[in-house]
Amino acid sequence: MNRSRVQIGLVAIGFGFLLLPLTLSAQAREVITKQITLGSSVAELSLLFTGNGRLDVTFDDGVVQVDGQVVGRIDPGDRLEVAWRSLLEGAVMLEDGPLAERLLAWSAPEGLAAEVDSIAQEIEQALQGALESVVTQARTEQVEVPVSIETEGDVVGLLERTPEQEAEIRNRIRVELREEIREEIREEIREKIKWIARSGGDSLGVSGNVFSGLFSLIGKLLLIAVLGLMGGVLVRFGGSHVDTIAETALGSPVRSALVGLGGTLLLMPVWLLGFLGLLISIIGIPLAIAWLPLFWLLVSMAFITGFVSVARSAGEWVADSGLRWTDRIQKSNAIHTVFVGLFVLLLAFLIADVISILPFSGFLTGVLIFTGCVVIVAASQIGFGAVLLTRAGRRRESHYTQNDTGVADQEADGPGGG
Amino acid sequence: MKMGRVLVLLGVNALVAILSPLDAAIVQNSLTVTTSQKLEDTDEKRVSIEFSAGRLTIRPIDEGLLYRLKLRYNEDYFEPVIDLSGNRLHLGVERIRKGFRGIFNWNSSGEGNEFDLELTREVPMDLHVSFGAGSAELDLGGLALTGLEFNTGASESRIKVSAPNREQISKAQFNIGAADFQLEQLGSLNAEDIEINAGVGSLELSLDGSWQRDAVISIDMGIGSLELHVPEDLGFQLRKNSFLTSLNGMRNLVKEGNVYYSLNWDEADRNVTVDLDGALGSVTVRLIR
Repeated sequence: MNRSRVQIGLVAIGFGFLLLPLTLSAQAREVITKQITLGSSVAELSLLFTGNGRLDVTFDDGVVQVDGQVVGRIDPGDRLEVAWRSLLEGAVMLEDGPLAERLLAWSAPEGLAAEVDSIAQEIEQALQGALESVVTQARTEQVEVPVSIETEGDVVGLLERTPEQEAEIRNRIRVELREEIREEIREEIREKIKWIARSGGDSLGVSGNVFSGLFSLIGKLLLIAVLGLMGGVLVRFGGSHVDTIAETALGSPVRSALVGLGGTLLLMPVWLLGFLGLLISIIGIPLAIAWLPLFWLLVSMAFITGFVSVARSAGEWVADSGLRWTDRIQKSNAIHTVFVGLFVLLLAFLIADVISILPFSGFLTGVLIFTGCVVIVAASQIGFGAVLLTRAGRRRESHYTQNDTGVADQEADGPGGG
Repeated sequence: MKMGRVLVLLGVNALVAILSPLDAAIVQNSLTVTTSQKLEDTDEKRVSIEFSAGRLTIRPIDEGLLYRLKLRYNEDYFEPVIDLSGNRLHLGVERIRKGFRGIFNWNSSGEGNEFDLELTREVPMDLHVSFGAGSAELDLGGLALTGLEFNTGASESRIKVSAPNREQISKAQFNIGAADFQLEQLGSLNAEDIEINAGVGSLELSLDGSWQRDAVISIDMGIGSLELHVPEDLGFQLRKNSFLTSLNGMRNLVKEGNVYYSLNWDEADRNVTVDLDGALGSVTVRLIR
């Protein structure tokens, strides 16, 4: 009889224990939104709880406020502010229960001046009032797991074994977490290796930028060398023709560019019509076969000749510019001016290659490459147009000239000219 | 759009890039805000993120939170925007003072504006990111994305999808002004239509990841280079409509007019088509295992 009463009593205690979390959670609340603001003069904690409750504690330039009410003033950098900042820095990554526990465990430094101490007490009370139920809720959640596991078993056994089971669950979670973290790290390393292997060393951050920038720069310098040598050959063997083209490009750049643009647009139709024309004339059939590659060879030569001529004009312009270092340029030496001109025309690309070595330079590099493209296209069109206008330098093209009085004489470029 | 939008981005960011050196010269009032929001429901959300300049990071979080955001910005010029109204979440920094100073907020130790966002995997979301200049590192792996739009001006941006998207995206859009832009594990984005509009810069797209369906990637490129990393087992097709664009790495592809196919196009489980519309630049295709 006595034994059965004890059993009933224990069962009743067990049920009471099971119902306890429900009772507590009805009173408890959760942190819905947390905001921590830290600046040179501001250290602010703002919490929003379920049921629209909130807590705001602000240190702003020495003024301390709790829930919008000024509770006092301190000297900026006071020990209380330092302690408050340190608390907030430690709470940045915590949420809900652990956050509430950390905030509740905080206490102001000892030995504060009486006025500052009263501010500290106000803050502690505000934290206590707002967060106690959050902590209770968190603790309730922690004990719910073992209770639910043991509801089918013996109540006395439950009360005895709970701490052991808790320890076991903790151990199990620790082992599982460790394994999970290990696996994640392994996976990340694997991904990183894959990424490096895939990009073939091209995307290895700054070093990748340095190599690609340097290779590109060397490429441009080689291009200048090759074009410069071709320019030298052209100047050597076609001196007066190149002179004529360069003069036309310099004297009538707009007209040359328009003719060049028109010529470029007409290239394909001329090539096709030329081929068809030769094809339908019986004598021209063998020529038609040769026409196909020969036409583009001639066009390429015209473009290169025009470009080199424009480069030469640019080089002469630089020589005449009077800049400090330009006195070394021998204007009488055509090869000299061609090289300088090529440098000028490709300058934007060269700077882009150098800048691309630096991090976060994508935009500036893009702008420089765009500028370089515009310069190259313009120079090519002007050069090609000048070649067409002068019939490859065989006919001198008249253009605007400036007389000594500064009045423009209209020759070929103006209406009725030419 | 699209080039118009790209040009606007280019213009704005040209000013940002040119005037940003002013930034380092002035004393900054830097503020760090860390904020988080508990996950209360799993209704779909429209998430808008706006950040003008600095370092942007976005990654997933598993801590019962809707988001956790760490923001560092110059309080003299910006104020944070943190707004959850109904199913709309708006996070960002808003300019409150004119002028270009403070835009990057660099301090003497090289730290500048920062926007470090962690987003839940539990809530389906339509994600819109507008990022001006700086560097961006996004890991969208495992998020539940129903839509995606990423806009950037002058930046170094790297977006990776390290785990499959839990939802399906009908259209993902990337608008890029002048940027070094990398997209990794694109297959895991689970999008059937991907649109990339780029002004100037370099694009690097890795078509790895787990493709759930066939997809079309439309690339509209101004001036720059495009590098495509294509898994060997993926059916791949490149349709090229470009002017002055050089092609590299096409040896393993079959050409028919302006279209290049991978050899396994008819047999592959998943096929991806890249529609390229470019003005000036280079395209490189690399096969990967």
